[in-house]
Amino acid sequence: MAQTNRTVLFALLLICPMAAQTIVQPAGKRVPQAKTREELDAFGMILDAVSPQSTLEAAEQYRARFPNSEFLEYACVAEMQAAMDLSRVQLADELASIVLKRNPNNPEALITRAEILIVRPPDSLGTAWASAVEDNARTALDRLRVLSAPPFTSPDTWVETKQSMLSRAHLVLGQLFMNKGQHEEAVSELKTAVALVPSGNAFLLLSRAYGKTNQINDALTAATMALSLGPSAVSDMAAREIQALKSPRF
Amino acid sequence: MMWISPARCSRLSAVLLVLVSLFLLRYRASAQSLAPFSIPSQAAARASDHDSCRSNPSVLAIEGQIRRLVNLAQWSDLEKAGAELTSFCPDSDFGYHWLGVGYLRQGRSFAAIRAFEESLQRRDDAGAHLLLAEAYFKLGQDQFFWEEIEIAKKMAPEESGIYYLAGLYVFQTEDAYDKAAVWFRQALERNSGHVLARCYLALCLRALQQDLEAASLLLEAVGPESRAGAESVILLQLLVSLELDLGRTSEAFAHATLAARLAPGSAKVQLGLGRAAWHIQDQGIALHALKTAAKLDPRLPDPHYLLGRIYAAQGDGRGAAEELARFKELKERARGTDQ
Repeated sequence: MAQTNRTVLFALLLICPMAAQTIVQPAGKRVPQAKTREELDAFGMILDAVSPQSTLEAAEQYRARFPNSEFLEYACVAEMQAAMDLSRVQLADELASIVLKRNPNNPEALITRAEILIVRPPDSLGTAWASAVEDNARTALDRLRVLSAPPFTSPDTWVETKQSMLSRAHLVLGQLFMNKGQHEEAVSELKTAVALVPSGNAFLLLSRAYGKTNQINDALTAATMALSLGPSAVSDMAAREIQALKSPRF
Repeated sequence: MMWISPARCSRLSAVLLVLVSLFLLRYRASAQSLAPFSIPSQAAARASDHDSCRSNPSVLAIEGQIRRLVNLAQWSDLEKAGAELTSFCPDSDFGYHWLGVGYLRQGRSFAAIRAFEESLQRRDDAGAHLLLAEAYFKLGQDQFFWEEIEIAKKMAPEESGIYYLAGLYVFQTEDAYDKAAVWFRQALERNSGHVLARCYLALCLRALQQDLEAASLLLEAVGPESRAGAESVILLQLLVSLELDLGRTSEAFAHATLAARLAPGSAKVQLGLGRAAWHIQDQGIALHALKTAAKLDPRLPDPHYLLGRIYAAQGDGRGAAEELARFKELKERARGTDQ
């Protein structure tokens, strides 16, 4: 997870400035520039951090020391990802807000915001939370679709990063449609998610969505995939799902 | 102790900077920090001060190992050996220098910068400044890049690699081909055998629509067929492309054939041969070369486009459609627009 997040972060480092240069082309827009070597090194320490906790600490220090840094958005993204890894959802949400204030199209922050909302619908939004989830996920998808590989980037790394983010956005939409009882739509979103990045979690949800639409063979296949992909908590749930699908009720 | 002579610098910058374009995404996150290093060996514990450290046989062995690893381009092992040496001899500029190179070649630019700074604190050296410039290049940091280039230039004004790197930076980040050409010319004035500087100068000249000058620049370096070696391949590839654009199809075919003889296992060389053969209407050679290119690099889109055109010309509509579909798929994948 952390490794994927880092890949995403590095991609984001390039996506925003480089894509701006090649797609939107605002005059003079380039890679963020550090004002001092200390500032650059401190940013490097965030990327060098070997655990989510140390990423969090390095990013917090960075934000305190260099509040006007051009790298601030990316430091916040790293901190947000670390907060998610540490299940500090409140902090991740605050950081997503900071990132989106600076760049409303930051796909990583949009997806993270959607992932947080789908799991913990806030009371303040009432029934509007569902449209907030959908808006965030769809804006991220729209943004990702128009992004091409940044210059000097290995196409493979770029495709891997982009697919991971697209998959997460489709997974959130799949969860949302499941919650709303729109199971056919959920199947469609989750099929896209697993086609992009096969993960145990997404296959488990897909299995449940197939189950709801009485596509039992497909549900069993998806649950078997979830069982083999794991992690162990997902595998356990997948095993129970398979048992249930094989029961006479189906 | 001169660990990185100007000549060494030149070889380094010429050979290793091919990787410069890999940029930030190649930066790997694992075990980034300089400390802690690998566990010091027993001999390390015995090395109590700087002098005894340098004369220690174990240190000499690690230094020998580092030189071997550099020549073998084994960057991960070089990083380990550099770390071991700096753990052994904390005052070793050599150790930090090659530790930095190990990091840099694995795309770990921030760690590389720290290692080069450590090396420079122990001994000021044009090579380390040049490598530091390269690390800032990878991170796209204008100010620090140019600061390091200026220092390196003052310390080793005749080192062609400095001018090459500066030209490459201008070429890649500013698209200012006239400015970049000035830097590449300066590199070639200092070392006419700097193949990459010559290639990039030719690319600049092409961008400035000075195709004839670009062609003679490349031809001058390729020389007669009997003298052509492995280093000629990249020059020949550029030359083939240029000659095809200039309508010199038979010269292009001859040069493409020579390149394929020198580097038969290169997909792009085979693609060049296929393209040149297609231009002189030799479908047999074109088909063979393009199929070879596609086999050598299954991710390369262009062979499939040309194969599609050849099949279409031969009246094989189904084969053409298959190849063009493959071309489209690979092209979109390369652009990262597939979902």
